[in-house]
Amino acid sequence: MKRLLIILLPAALLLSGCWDELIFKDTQMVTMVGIEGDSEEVTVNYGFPAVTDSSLEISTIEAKGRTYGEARNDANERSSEVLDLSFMQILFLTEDAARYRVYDFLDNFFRIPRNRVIAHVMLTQGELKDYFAISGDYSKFLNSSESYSKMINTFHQYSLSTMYDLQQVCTILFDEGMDLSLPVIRINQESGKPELAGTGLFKGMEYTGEMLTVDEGRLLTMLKGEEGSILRMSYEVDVDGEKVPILLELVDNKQKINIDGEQAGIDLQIVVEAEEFAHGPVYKGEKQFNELEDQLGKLIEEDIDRLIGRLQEAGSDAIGIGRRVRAFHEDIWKKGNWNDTFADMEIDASVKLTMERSGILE
Amino acid sequence: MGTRITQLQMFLMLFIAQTGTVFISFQSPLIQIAGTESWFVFFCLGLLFLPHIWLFERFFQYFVWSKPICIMYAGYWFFICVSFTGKNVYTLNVWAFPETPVLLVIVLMGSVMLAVVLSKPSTAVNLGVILIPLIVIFILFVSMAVNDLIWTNLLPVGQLSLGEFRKAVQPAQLPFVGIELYLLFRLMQPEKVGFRRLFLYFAIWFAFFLYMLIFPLAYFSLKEFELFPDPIIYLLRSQEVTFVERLDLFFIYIWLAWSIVTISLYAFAVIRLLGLMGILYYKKIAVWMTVLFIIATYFVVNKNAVQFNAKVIPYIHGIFGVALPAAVIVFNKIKGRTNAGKGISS
Repeated sequence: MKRLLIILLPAALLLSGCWDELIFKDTQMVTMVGIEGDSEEVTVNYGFPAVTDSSLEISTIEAKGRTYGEARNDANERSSEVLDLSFMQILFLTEDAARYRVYDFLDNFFRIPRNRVIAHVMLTQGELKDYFAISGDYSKFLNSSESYSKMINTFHQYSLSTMYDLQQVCTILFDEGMDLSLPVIRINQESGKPELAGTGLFKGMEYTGEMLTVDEGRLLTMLKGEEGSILRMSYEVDVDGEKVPILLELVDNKQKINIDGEQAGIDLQIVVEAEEFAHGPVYKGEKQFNELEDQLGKLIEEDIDRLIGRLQEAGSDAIGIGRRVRAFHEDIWKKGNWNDTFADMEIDASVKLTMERSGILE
Repeated sequence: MGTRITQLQMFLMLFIAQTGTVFISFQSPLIQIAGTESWFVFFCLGLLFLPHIWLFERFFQYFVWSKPICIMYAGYWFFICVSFTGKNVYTLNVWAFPETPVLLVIVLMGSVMLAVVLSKPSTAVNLGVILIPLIVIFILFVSMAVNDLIWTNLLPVGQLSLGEFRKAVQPAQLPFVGIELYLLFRLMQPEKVGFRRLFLYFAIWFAFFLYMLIFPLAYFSLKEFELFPDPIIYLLRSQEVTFVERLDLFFIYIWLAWSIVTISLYAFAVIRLLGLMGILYYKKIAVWMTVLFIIATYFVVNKNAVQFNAKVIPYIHGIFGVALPAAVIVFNKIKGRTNAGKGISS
């Protein structure tokens, strides 16, 4: 009987090899997907590596349908191989498409078990096709999902924008206490190379059309505590009546959100390293250092206040203040639509900056 | 000759039987009703597990396994086996083996179950041991999501109305399913079970299910629970690890093994009941039971049946886990009848 058990248990585990095998030559491993369209018609671009006689090239298939599912079916019918999204790395969504209920485009990706939900999502400006077929000298380098993945890693590592994968995007879209913010990329007209344009703000399920600048996006990652390993900010400080540029790198970031009635305060305690400054006027001793800290703290505070103003204008709580309100301040939460409440709230930031080190011994 | 098991074996069997299939699916229906408060509902209800099992320990001798009681429990556990396997095969079919014929999967699971019940009792008693490392690995996998948890998802608490709370209690009962097996397993265990041991088992059971509830609740948005019935698999799917591309598929195999052992334990319990009814030559019955199991399961591997079973199981559990044991124990206590001298043939 034990022998029978030994045979049957592994047999059950190996079942998928009999009927559910997918032979590599019969499948197209889709690594990039782009979606454009509206609630009536969807156009989907699939990018996948294709081996030619001498090299590996990226091929694309364009498909149309009333829904994403229909477009995918159309693509499958026209392709000689089965499109397999289990290796998808990037999902592009055009800015125009994102103005519609975004989840409707993503539902199929999100819920079908075989699909990969850790693919990154980005918004694109201009023609979607351009991101799949980049011309010029960069084409070989850029025309692959891995190159885009590297680009995304850079965005994240240097805290240039908030970065989310498909799973996180869907979770935030359904979270009433926080709004989504995604990187927006564009093709640089001169170089033909994709670059970060800013951070797009969502309100509920739809893209507002409002985009934060790269500097604002950087501050947003700091406010959300989602910064990458490097976050650098550049400011101009006044030292002895002289304007001096200074580059700061974030070392530590602690924040506390206080909510009192319809007033919210964001207390930010940040520790930075003054990474680069002109030798001479900036660093003249402890007193000078303290003055610099105050000055820089105020400058960052002003920038954060401006950023919050932009978020409120767009009615997009990309910071996630709503999560705290929902948890601890039910009276405010139940007042009505959170996006409207957020837009009307009085939110002040206060920054306490500590310059812990100078990055240079002397 | 009676089958004797140690306390450790008894609690291991009980834990495997109680976790089995429900740990991946009890969260969604509960969270859909109780929202952020679902952990609190389960916390309150879960505390009742200790007095529940303590009462079983205190009065198990008065739960006399008469023939009608044996038949009723055999039917109930057979239903549990069928509905759990139906849910399991349905999930496997959607998630991992879409092209594999469901009948084949059921036959293989039924074959393992049959092999276990036809083996010596020690096979079923010790089968759970192989799951211990797998359960530890599984908990580690789930724990990898800790950095993505949103703790504010667990608040506010204390806003549910009595009606909502009562509604939420139904799915929150699912982890209790199988507790009545204690009444049977306890007969195979001759020593008195101290309160400390009972508390330890309760603590492990409670911590396990609370963990399985809090992680998905703090990981996903509340509205996402309307989109999928098994949040644990979705949670594992979204974990990026270097050693395997899809953690969820890895988990599916752990879950498959876990489920097979679970149904084998329930089948083992049914066979023990045959012994209590004085049926010593049970092998033929076991084969027919497996055939019936395969046929019955085949007809419940669909979405409607899975959803229906998930809805009715808490009610049936209320009868077999609470009401019937209470009635039988009270009745026999008054009559002064006990299980004394009842042996379970091996």
